[in-house]
Amino acid sequence: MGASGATPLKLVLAGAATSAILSSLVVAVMIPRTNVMDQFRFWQVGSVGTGSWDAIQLFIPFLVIGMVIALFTAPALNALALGDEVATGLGVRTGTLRLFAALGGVLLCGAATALAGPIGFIGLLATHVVRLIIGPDIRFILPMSALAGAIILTVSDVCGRLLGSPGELEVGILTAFIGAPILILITMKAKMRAL
Amino acid sequence: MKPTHTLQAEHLTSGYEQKTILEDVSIAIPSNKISIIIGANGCGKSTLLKTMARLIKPTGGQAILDGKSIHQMSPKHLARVLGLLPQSPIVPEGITVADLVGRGRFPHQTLFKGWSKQDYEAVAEALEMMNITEFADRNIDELSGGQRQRVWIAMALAQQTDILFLDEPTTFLDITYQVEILDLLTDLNKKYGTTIVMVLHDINLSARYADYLFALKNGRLLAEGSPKSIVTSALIKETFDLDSVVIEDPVSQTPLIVPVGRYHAV
Repeated sequence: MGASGATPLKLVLAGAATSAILSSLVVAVMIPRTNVMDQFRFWQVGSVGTGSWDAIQLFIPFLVIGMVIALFTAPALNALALGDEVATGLGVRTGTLRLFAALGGVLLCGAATALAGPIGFIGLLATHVVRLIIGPDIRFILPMSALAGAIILTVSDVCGRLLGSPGELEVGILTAFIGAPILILITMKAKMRAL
Repeated sequence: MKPTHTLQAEHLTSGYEQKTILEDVSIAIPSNKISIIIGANGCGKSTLLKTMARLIKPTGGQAILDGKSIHQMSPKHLARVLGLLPQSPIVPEGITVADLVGRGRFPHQTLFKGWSKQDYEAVAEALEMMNITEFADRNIDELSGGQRQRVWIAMALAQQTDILFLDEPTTFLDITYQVEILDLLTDLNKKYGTTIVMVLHDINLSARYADYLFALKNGRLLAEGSPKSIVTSALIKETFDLDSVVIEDPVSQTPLIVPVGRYHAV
């Protein structure tokens, strides 16, 4: 990530660039296939309604490997949270760790997104809420975030169905609408504390 | 007492990207003693410390611990012998003192074995040693600068290494806390025989607390030896480009450097 390492700004920029490239790929795949366009519209918004056990079965290996990587890297990530130099002093190979942790994240996020579409903000929101409640130990944050994420998703989906009745308000719309302001609040609070 | 280790730098050359900061430095760290690296800003003292603690890969030469190059040793194995406290570690938001100190146990833990009795004992001992047991459950954000630095040193202590590197452990602290930190590190050296290597800015405190000094200038070793044997006004002139008078410290009988400056004459 360049000379001064992965600063938050660089990560955000790299993320935006990657996201632009990948969504252009998605569009390139979609454009010539009119028959899947309709399905894509719902996937793009993010909805758990289109999920099926068959599809979930297909992604179980990815989810299991992702979870194993996440749990195995957690103790070393706790060391990395103290900075690269401290982590190196504690015997962590920081480069290798980053690679594995990123791989775990990509597997888990990728599998979930492929199944239900890009339902935004749940991952960010769940981890931040869990961190506020149980503190900064990543060994506990990881499993608790999975639980919190599932709860937030289910509640949001139920709310979406109630609000949208007789039809359905897709959960992706709801999480973005509620999640974004909450996330801004959390970052503002964090910044205030840092000042 | 901690076992004896041989730790050397052999023709160590190192720096950042294209810029060479440290050039051909060969030193041997005295085991079970306190060594302090001194020198002007940018002379390479931090780089020397970081390269010997394998934070920076040398571009030439090597750092050798007990006959093996440290950059080829298993990182976790090395972390059980050589600990390091860098200059500006990151404090995770909302972390408690005990949690942070406990993270120093990482090299002693394996994936399948959780926290052992030794881990808890090591943390309790480190807290005790730094006089921060009463803060164990407190949030680090609530502590003063001097207390915070004691927490970081306790983290490095919990690692229970025979050798401890510290990069300017007293920077930004009031003189009271500077002396307190250096006293605590001396306790550590006297009680366990821990080999301590640190970079310090304050030359007078260095002369008082060091068993052995390394003076660097422009990335090269200028002088080494016990403070009494090497600290002279000539050395200070050469190291820091400063005119000074060296007298005997009335408290510790070590060399005391009194700077001259432009407005005074000797």
